Amino acid sequence: MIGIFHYLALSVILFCIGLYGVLTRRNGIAVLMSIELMFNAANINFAAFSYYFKGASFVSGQTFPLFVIAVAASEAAVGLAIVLSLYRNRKTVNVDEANQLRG
Amino acid sequence: MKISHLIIFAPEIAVLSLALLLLILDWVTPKRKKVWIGYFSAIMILVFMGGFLCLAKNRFFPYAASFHGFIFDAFALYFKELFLLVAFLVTLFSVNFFKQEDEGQGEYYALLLFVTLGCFLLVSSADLLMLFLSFEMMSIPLYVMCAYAKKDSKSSESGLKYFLIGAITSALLLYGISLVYAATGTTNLHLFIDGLVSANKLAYNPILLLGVVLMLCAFSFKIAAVPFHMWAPDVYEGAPAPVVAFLAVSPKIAVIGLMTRLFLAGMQPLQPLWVFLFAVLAALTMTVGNLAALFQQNLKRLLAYSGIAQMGYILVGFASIQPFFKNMPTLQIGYQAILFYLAAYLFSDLAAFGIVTYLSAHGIEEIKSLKGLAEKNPMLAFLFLISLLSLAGVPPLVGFVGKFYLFLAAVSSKLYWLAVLGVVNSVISLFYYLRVARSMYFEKEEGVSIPYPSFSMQVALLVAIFGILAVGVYPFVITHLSIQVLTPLSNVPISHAMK
Repeated sequence: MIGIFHYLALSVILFCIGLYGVLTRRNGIAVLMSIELMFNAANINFAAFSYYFKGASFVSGQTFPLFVIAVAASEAAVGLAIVLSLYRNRKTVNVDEANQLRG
Repeated sequence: MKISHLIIFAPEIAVLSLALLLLILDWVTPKRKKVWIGYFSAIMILVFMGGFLCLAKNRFFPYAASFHGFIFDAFALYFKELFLLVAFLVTLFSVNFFKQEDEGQGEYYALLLFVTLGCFLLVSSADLLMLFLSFEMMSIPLYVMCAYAKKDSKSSESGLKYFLIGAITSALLLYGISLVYAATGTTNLHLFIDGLVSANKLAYNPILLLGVVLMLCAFSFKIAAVPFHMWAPDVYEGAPAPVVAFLAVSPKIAVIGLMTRLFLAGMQPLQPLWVFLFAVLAALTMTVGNLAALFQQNLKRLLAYSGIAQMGYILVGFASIQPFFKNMPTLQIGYQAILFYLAAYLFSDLAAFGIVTYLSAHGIEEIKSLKGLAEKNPMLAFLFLISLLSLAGVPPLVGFVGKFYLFLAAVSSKLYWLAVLGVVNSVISLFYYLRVARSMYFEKEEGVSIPYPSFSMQVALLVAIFGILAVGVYPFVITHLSIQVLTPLSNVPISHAMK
């Protein structure tokens, strides 16, 4: 029987994978994808717990992911634009090579 | 809800319409006249400030209204006036910074207003969904603004760094919110607080604790508190100077305002944990910020570390908030000190950044290239000196009064070590601020002369300097205001809603 804690465990694992990716991947695009994983981990929580609560508050749990998806899309759009602008200046999307600013 | 109730959204509607209007104006203005969009925006912002003051003088001032997810009260209005002031000053700085041939100036002023709108919504949010959305509304246009100088690879890099850090921050915030929702079953802030108070055992629920700590991490990233501060110097150095002035003030004030609301209105059951967390965070942030600032050569990096240290002082205010119970609401000096210091930070930091913006437009970004500024341009050097001394906390300037209140709050809640550490830090900070002054006043160098600022720049600088001096000499304007603003918040429950 799959219970609420399975969902919670799944979302924690997904979040940790995303965080690991953000910290270790050097390609700007891959970092963006890892951030999406972190967002979706939170979405799983919302969806799972809104089903679990059922009462008056379940609507907010279900609407939250809808907004999050929209926000994640706009964030990805801006992020890709910035990566592209860096690529035009430096011919690289590697985050490590963006190191002109160091004091 | 009647249509007349829309008046509580008046500030947001006004700023949003202005931003959209600027986009349209940008479309019809010829390229050489873009600078007028900036002036127009600045004038309209002034009009709004006056208008909202009238709103405050009206019957709305002691009036708290909330819809699902949105609160309009005196507290929010205080912050909205601050954001408008920041937007006004930064708009004038930008008008003097960008050159005629620079691209996309029209949209720039609209983006600035979108960030301001996000800050407006953030201090008014009463629901975690609203909180998250306004947090994003505040951040996303700022990423674009950081990368605004498209041809400059430093600016792109600064934008990328700010974006990556910002996206991680959002993810942490979102995950924190989802855990809080999992633990309490609601995203509405006042229901969430009631839930905490009624079921005290929830305060020791590990999921809830983890969620709240993740949210706190996200806030710390945004205000650049140690150990979440590494992005600040890099982003500040690369981004265009007026954008730095903006991102160093508005989002930080908004996040501190939100935290104040969360604490004053709720999260009380978790108080013992907070006091400890904030005391450690404040001590680390002050010390690391000030020590790192000692070794900086670049003016923007110096101000980045100085800004980190300033946030450390504000966290002292949070650490000194006593546990309080619903049946005996008392207004604590810690909250007042925080509100006061935000105003102090706004004036001092914007005055300093205004001058850095002006210098940066003339190619000066290093401390050593400030040599002989006092001879070349005495007024500019003097104004810079005043703003730096205010940041360091020298009487009778506003920074001194602000720090005095914060350390007083720490002493009154028996955090003597934190107060002593704060004073020691202020002394350390004096050292690096005076290093800039020494370069300006005591080192001579022949070089290019710097022209006197234009009229609009003078107005902006004088407004900021006037704030530093006037509020420093007569601080009761703001302290009185902060009592008025905070009292309804601590007495009237948030759930007192307009039906």
